Amino acid sequence: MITYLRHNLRCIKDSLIHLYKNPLRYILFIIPLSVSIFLILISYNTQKNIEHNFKYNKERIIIFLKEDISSKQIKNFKDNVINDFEIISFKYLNKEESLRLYSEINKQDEIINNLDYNPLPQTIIIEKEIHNGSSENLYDLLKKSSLIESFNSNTIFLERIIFLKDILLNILIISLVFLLFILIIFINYYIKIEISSNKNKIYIYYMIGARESYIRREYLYLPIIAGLISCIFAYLLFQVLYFFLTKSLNEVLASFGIIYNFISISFVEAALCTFLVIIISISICLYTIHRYLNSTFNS
Amino acid sequence: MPMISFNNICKIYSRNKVFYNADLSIEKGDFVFLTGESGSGKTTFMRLISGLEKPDRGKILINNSDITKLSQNGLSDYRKKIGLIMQDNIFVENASVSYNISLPLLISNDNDIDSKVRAVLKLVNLNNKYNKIINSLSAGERQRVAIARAIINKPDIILADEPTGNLDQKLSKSVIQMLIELSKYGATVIVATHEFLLVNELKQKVLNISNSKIF
Repeated sequence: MITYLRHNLRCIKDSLIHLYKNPLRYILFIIPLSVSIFLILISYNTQKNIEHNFKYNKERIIIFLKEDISSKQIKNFKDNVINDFEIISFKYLNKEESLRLYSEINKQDEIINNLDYNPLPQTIIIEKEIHNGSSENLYDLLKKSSLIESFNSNTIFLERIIFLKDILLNILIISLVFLLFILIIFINYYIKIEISSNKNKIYIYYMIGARESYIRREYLYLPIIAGLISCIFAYLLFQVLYFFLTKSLNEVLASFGIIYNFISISFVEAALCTFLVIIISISICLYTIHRYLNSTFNS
Repeated sequence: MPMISFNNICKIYSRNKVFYNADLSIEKGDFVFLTGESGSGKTTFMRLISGLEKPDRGKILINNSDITKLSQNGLSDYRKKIGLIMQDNIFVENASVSYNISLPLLISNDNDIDSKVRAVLKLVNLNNKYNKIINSLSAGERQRVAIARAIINKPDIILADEPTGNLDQKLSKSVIQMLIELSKYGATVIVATHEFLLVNELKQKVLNISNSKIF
């Protein structure tokens, strides 16, 4: 056990020295790897932000009622809608409540400051799951209803958000493939160079009875350390971009009256990402080293 | 009980029979010259005993255990007990003499590397070359470094394949005598050579490879 730990520590130290002495050789790997990890972080985090801010992806239909609609008519309408469609919530607002809600959302609107004048009718706000059945039948009902003056829905907005999420998912998948590709290319290149330049040493190791796992450890740590450095670079780059992006975007969104709560990558998520990179690196390393050692030894 | 025994060993390289039903027995502490023409199979013999190659058929018993049945890790552990001196000695060329000699101790995580390296360098008369880079050594010095590396772990078996190939006659004799001395301490030493003059002069046990057999 002590032999194993000592050798691991020696290999880590040697890898760090090697990296320190030949930074240019490895920077060409660290940069694209950092970019691919950065793309993973940014696409994942944007998706997470969308999920967080539009948690339930609810379709929200705002219905403005005609004048002088009785509460009995509203109750019948509610029963109809709730029975026939999968509605999450049905909220009725009288004229005053409608005005209060509108003024809460549009604080900067000067018209609302004049509370003696209320242009808003009675309002119903319906929320339904966007994927639970088509909304066309509901829209037909609303169009034909004699109680309703007009209505509008956030469907287009939600569809755009879903479209954006799909794009981000594609970016995430492409980044993962890119990451895998870079790791395979680099590790393959690095192991090939290192093993062929240390052919004598490896042959001596075989002659004096070193196990393959012992030889493997000598080449295992440098790609892992390079991967770790790439993760740190990517995370720092992400944090800088996130800082400036949230600062400027918050102002833009606030000017449109959209309250948007940005969330960053948590420590656990960053650690998981690093863990993923290291696990992939180790797997590729083990396979590649075994392959090259076999071919070197057999030649 | 013999230290090394071959039972019906066959080794064939694309229709070239190097060994065919070859048998052999070498006792512990023996010093043996292995002779034969070029290409007769001396190096293959060394590689078979060291486990670097497997026979196509037959058993190789070392201390009564069949090394042909050992796993890869088992073979590695077995090779730790063997000192190999090959025809073209391989070193980490840009490293020091002490580093090259210490490699067997490094893989065993020995705590006393420095003093053991110094002791073995004294034995091969290279005590002033401790920090020298291998590249800067003469052929004779390289040969002695190879011997030092092979014996530093106090192996049970020492296999030397043409250890005097690059040396003059005087140096060759001193290298062989050094190996004979080691056999007196209990190591079984096999030296493959085609220098019949030296073999005749030193009067040691001789095995000859001829017609795929060992006599």
